[in-house]
Amino acid sequence: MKSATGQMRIGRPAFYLAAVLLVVAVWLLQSHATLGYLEPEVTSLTALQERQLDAFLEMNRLITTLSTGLLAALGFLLVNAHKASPNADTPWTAIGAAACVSVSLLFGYVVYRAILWMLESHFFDLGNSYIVWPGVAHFYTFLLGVLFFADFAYHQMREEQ
Amino acid sequence: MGRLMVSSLLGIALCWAALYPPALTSQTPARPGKLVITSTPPEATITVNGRALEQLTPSTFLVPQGKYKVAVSDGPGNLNCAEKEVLVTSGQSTELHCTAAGWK
Repeated sequence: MKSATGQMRIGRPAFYLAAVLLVVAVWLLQSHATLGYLEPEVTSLTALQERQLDAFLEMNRLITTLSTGLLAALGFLLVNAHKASPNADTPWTAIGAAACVSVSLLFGYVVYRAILWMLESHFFDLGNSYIVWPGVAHFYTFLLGVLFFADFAYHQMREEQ
Repeated sequence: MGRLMVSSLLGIALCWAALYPPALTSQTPARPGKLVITSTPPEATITVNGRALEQLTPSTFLVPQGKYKVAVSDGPGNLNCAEKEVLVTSGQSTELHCTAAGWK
Protein backbone atom coordinates (compact mmCIF):
# COMPACT_ATOMS: atom_id res chain seq x y z
CA MET A 1 0.00 0.00 0.00
CA LYS A 2 1.26 3.49 -0.84
CA SER A 3 0.08 6.61 0.97
CA ALA A 4 -0.46 10.04 -0.59
CA THR A 5 3.04 11.11 0.49
CA GLY A 6 4.63 8.27 -1.50
CA GLN A 7 5.59 6.38 1.62
CA MET A 8 4.88 2.75 2.31
CA ARG A 9 2.36 1.59 4.88
CA ILE A 10 3.09 -1.99 5.83
CA GLY A 11 0.84 -3.90 8.20
CA ARG A 12 2.31 -6.13 10.91
CA PRO A 13 1.14 -9.43 9.34
CA ALA A 14 2.44 -8.33 5.93
CA PHE A 15 5.84 -7.57 7.46
CA TYR A 16 6.08 -11.02 9.05
CA LEU A 17 4.79 -12.67 5.88
CA ALA A 18 7.46 -10.90 3.81
CA ALA A 19 10.12 -11.91 6.35
CA VAL A 20 9.00 -15.58 6.28
CA LEU A 21 8.99 -15.57 2.48
CA LEU A 22 12.49 -14.07 2.45
CA VAL A 23 13.87 -16.68 4.87
CA VAL A 24 12.21 -19.55 2.96
CA ALA A 25 13.52 -18.21 -0.38
CA VAL A 26 17.11 -18.01 0.94
CA TRP A 27 16.75 -21.46 2.53
CA LEU A 28 15.46 -23.02 -0.73
CA LEU A 29 18.25 -21.34 -2.67
CA GLN A 30 20.84 -22.81 -0.30
CA SER A 31 19.36 -26.31 -0.14
CA HIS A 32 19.02 -26.63 -3.91
CA ALA A 33 22.36 -25.10 -4.83
CA THR A 34 24.56 -27.98 -5.97
CA LEU A 35 27.92 -26.58 -6.88
CA GLY A 36 30.79 -28.66 -8.21
CA TYR A 37 34.28 -28.75 -6.73
CA LEU A 38 37.35 -30.97 -6.65
CA GLU A 39 39.63 -30.11 -3.77
CA PRO A 40 42.88 -31.79 -2.78
CA GLU A 41 42.89 -32.94 0.84
CA VAL A 42 45.21 -31.09 3.24
CA THR A 43 46.19 -32.18 6.72
CA SER A 44 47.31 -28.76 7.99
CA LEU A 45 47.32 -25.18 6.81
CA THR A 46 50.50 -23.41 5.76
CA ALA A 47 51.41 -20.07 7.34
CA LEU A 48 50.31 -18.30 4.15
CA GLN A 49 46.93 -20.08 4.12
CA GLU A 50 46.41 -19.14 7.77
CA ARG A 51 47.04 -15.48 6.91
CA GLN A 52 44.67 -15.72 3.94
CA LEU A 53 42.00 -17.18 6.19
CA ASP A 54 42.54 -14.46 8.82
CA ALA A 55 42.25 -11.72 6.17
CA PHE A 56 39.07 -13.28 4.79
CA LEU A 57 37.45 -13.63 8.22
CA GLU A 58 38.53 -10.08 9.13
CA MET A 59 36.62 -8.72 6.13
CA ASN A 60 33.64 -10.90 7.02
CA ARG A 61 33.65 -9.49 10.57
CA LEU A 62 34.05 -5.92 9.31
CA ILE A 63 31.00 -6.14 7.03
CA THR A 64 28.98 -7.78 9.83
CA THR A 65 29.97 -5.02 12.28
CA LEU A 66 29.17 -2.29 9.76
CA SER A 67 25.80 -3.93 9.00
CA THR A 68 24.94 -4.03 12.69
CA GLY A 69 25.97 -0.38 13.07
CA LEU A 70 23.88 0.56 10.05
CA LEU A 71 20.82 -1.17 11.54
CA ALA A 72 21.36 0.75 14.79
CA ALA A 73 21.68 4.08 12.92
CA LEU A 74 18.56 3.23 10.93
CA GLY A 75 16.65 2.52 14.13
CA PHE A 76 17.87 5.79 15.65
CA LEU A 77 16.74 7.81 12.62
CA LEU A 78 13.38 6.02 12.49
CA VAL A 79 12.71 6.68 16.18
CA ASN A 80 13.59 10.36 15.72
CA ALA A 81 11.39 10.58 12.64
CA HIS A 82 8.54 8.96 14.55
CA LYS A 83 8.96 11.45 17.42
CA ALA A 84 8.86 14.38 14.98
CA SER A 85 5.73 13.16 13.18
CA PRO A 86 4.09 10.17 14.87
CA ASN A 87 1.58 9.54 12.06
CA ALA A 88 4.10 9.47 9.23
CA ASP A 89 4.59 6.19 7.37
CA THR A 90 7.94 4.41 7.14
CA PRO A 91 9.74 5.34 3.91
CA TRP A 92 10.37 2.42 1.55
CA THR A 93 14.09 3.27 1.52
CA ALA A 94 14.28 2.54 5.27
CA ILE A 95 12.47 -0.78 4.75
CA GLY A 96 14.79 -1.59 1.82
CA ALA A 97 17.89 -0.77 3.88
CA ALA A 98 16.70 -2.91 6.81
CA ALA A 99 15.84 -5.85 4.51
CA CYS A 100 19.15 -5.71 2.58
CA VAL A 101 21.27 -5.40 5.72
CA SER A 102 19.38 -8.28 7.38
CA VAL A 103 19.97 -10.50 4.32
CA SER A 104 23.63 -9.41 4.37
CA LEU A 105 23.93 -10.52 8.01
CA LEU A 106 22.36 -13.89 7.10
CA PHE A 107 24.87 -14.39 4.27
CA GLY A 108 27.69 -13.42 6.64
CA TYR A 109 26.59 -16.32 8.84
CA VAL A 110 26.37 -18.64 5.81
CA VAL A 111 29.96 -17.73 4.83
CA TYR A 112 31.12 -18.46 8.38
CA ARG A 113 29.41 -21.89 8.27
CA ALA A 114 30.99 -22.59 4.86
CA ILE A 115 34.46 -21.80 6.26
CA LEU A 116 33.84 -24.23 9.13
CA TRP A 117 32.65 -26.85 6.61
CA MET A 118 35.83 -26.34 4.54
CA LEU A 119 38.08 -26.82 7.57
CA GLU A 120 36.11 -29.83 8.83
CA SER A 121 36.36 -31.40 5.37
CA HIS A 122 40.17 -30.98 5.38
CA PHE A 123 40.66 -28.76 2.35
CA PHE A 124 41.57 -25.14 1.82
CA ASP A 125 40.16 -23.13 -1.06
CA LEU A 126 38.66 -19.71 -0.45
CA GLY A 127 37.67 -19.75 -4.13
CA ASN A 128 35.28 -22.69 -3.55
CA SER A 129 31.81 -21.82 -4.92
CA TYR A 130 30.17 -22.55 -1.55
CA ILE A 131 32.32 -19.80 -0.02
CA VAL A 132 32.44 -17.36 -2.94
CA TRP A 133 28.73 -16.91 -3.68
CA PRO A 134 27.52 -16.20 -0.14
CA GLY A 135 30.60 -13.95 0.28
CA VAL A 136 29.61 -11.94 -2.78
CA ALA A 137 25.97 -11.80 -1.62
CA HIS A 138 27.18 -10.74 1.86
CA PHE A 139 29.05 -7.76 0.41
CA TYR A 140 26.61 -6.63 -2.29
CA THR A 141 23.46 -6.83 -0.15
CA PHE A 142 25.32 -4.71 2.42
CA LEU A 143 26.27 -2.23 -0.32
CA LEU A 144 22.64 -2.04 -1.47
CA GLY A 145 21.59 -1.50 2.14
CA VAL A 146 24.07 1.40 2.43
CA LEU A 147 22.61 2.92 -0.74
CA PHE A 148 19.03 2.75 0.59
CA PHE A 149 20.18 4.03 3.97
CA ALA A 150 22.03 7.00 2.41
CA ASP A 151 18.91 7.94 0.45
CA PHE A 152 16.73 7.62 3.56
CA ALA A 153 19.14 9.58 5.79
CA TYR A 154 19.57 12.33 3.19
CA HIS A 155 15.81 12.85 2.78
CA GLN A 156 15.30 12.59 6.52
CA MET A 157 17.82 15.37 7.15
CA ARG A 158 16.31 17.57 4.42
CA GLU A 159 12.86 17.16 5.95
CA GLU A 160 14.20 18.11 9.38
CA GLN A 161 15.84 21.25 7.94
CA MET B 1 -7.23 -9.24 18.38
CA GLY B 2 -7.42 -11.24 15.16
CA ARG B 3 -4.54 -9.29 13.61
CA LEU B 4 -2.44 -9.78 16.75
CA MET B 5 -3.06 -13.52 16.54
CA VAL B 6 -2.03 -13.59 12.86
CA SER B 7 1.10 -11.54 13.64
CA SER B 8 2.05 -13.85 16.49
CA LEU B 9 1.55 -16.96 14.34
CA LEU B 10 3.63 -15.48 11.53
CA GLY B 11 6.30 -14.52 14.08
CA ILE B 12 6.44 -18.12 15.33
CA ALA B 13 6.63 -19.36 11.71
CA LEU B 14 9.52 -16.97 11.06
CA CYS B 15 11.44 -18.22 14.11
CA TRP B 16 10.73 -21.83 13.09
CA ALA B 17 11.93 -21.19 9.53
CA ALA B 18 15.12 -19.50 10.75
CA LEU B 19 16.01 -21.77 13.66
CA TYR B 20 14.54 -25.21 12.92
CA PRO B 21 17.45 -27.71 12.67
CA PRO B 22 16.86 -28.71 9.01
CA ALA B 23 17.15 -25.06 8.07
CA LEU B 24 20.39 -24.76 10.02
CA THR B 25 21.96 -27.88 8.49
CA SER B 26 21.04 -26.69 5.01
CA GLN B 27 23.17 -23.62 5.67
CA THR B 28 26.20 -25.90 5.45
CA PRO B 29 26.98 -27.79 2.24
CA ALA B 30 26.67 -31.59 2.33
CA ARG B 31 29.69 -33.56 3.54
CA PRO B 32 32.00 -34.24 0.62
CA GLY B 33 33.07 -37.71 -0.45
CA LYS B 34 36.72 -38.76 -0.72
CA LEU B 35 38.33 -39.88 -3.95
CA VAL B 36 41.61 -41.63 -3.16
CA ILE B 37 43.75 -42.28 -6.24
CA THR B 38 46.98 -44.26 -5.96
CA SER B 39 49.28 -45.99 -8.42
CA THR B 40 52.25 -48.35 -8.62
CA PRO B 41 54.70 -46.78 -9.29
CA PRO B 42 53.56 -43.40 -7.93
CA GLU B 43 53.75 -39.91 -9.51
CA ALA B 44 51.44 -40.59 -12.44
CA THR B 45 49.12 -37.97 -13.95
CA ILE B 46 45.49 -37.94 -12.73
CA THR B 47 42.62 -36.93 -14.98
CA VAL B 48 39.14 -36.40 -13.52
CA ASN B 49 36.20 -35.76 -15.86
CA GLY B 50 38.63 -35.08 -18.69
CA ARG B 51 40.65 -32.51 -16.73
CA ALA B 52 44.30 -33.28 -16.00
CA LEU B 53 45.10 -32.27 -12.42
CA GLU B 54 48.24 -30.69 -10.99
CA GLN B 55 48.44 -33.33 -8.26
CA LEU B 56 50.15 -36.62 -9.08
CA THR B 57 49.41 -40.02 -7.52
CA PRO B 58 48.96 -40.74 -4.66
CA SER B 59 46.38 -38.02 -3.99
CA THR B 60 43.12 -37.64 -2.11
CA PHE B 61 40.41 -35.29 -3.35
CA LEU B 62 37.21 -34.05 -1.76
CA VAL B 63 34.28 -33.96 -4.13
CA PRO B 64 30.49 -33.65 -3.88
CA GLN B 65 28.46 -36.85 -4.17
CA GLY B 66 28.17 -38.06 -7.77
CA LYS B 67 29.76 -39.99 -10.62
CA TYR B 68 33.29 -39.19 -11.77
CA LYS B 69 35.38 -40.39 -14.68
CA VAL B 70 38.94 -41.03 -13.51
CA ALA B 71 42.01 -41.90 -15.58
CA VAL B 72 45.65 -42.31 -14.61
CA SER B 73 48.49 -42.18 -17.12
CA ASP B 74 52.20 -41.54 -17.71
CA GLY B 75 54.60 -41.21 -14.78
CA PRO B 76 57.72 -43.31 -14.14
CA GLY B 77 55.87 -46.57 -14.93
CA ASN B 78 54.33 -45.15 -18.14
CA LEU B 79 50.93 -46.24 -16.83
CA ASN B 80 47.78 -46.18 -18.89
CA CYS B 81 44.65 -46.80 -16.84
CA ALA B 82 41.77 -45.84 -19.08
CA GLU B 83 38.85 -43.69 -17.94
CA LYS B 84 36.77 -45.43 -15.28
CA GLU B 85 33.45 -44.22 -13.90
CA VAL B 86 33.19 -44.29 -10.12
CA LEU B 87 30.41 -43.32 -7.76
CA VAL B 88 31.43 -41.19 -4.79
CA THR B 89 29.00 -40.92 -1.90
CA SER B 90 28.83 -38.23 0.72
CA GLY B 91 31.09 -38.92 3.73
CA GLN B 92 32.49 -42.12 2.15
CA SER B 93 35.90 -42.89 0.73
CA THR B 94 36.26 -44.35 -2.79
CA GLU B 95 39.67 -45.82 -3.54
CA LEU B 96 41.22 -46.44 -6.95
CA HIS B 97 44.58 -48.06 -7.59
CA CYS B 98 46.28 -48.08 -10.97
CA THR B 99 49.00 -50.57 -11.91
CA ALA B 100 50.75 -51.57 -15.14
CA ALA B 101 48.09 -54.31 -15.51
CA GLY B 102 45.23 -51.78 -15.24
CA TRP B 103 42.82 -50.81 -12.46
CA LYS B 104 42.83 -52.91 -9.30
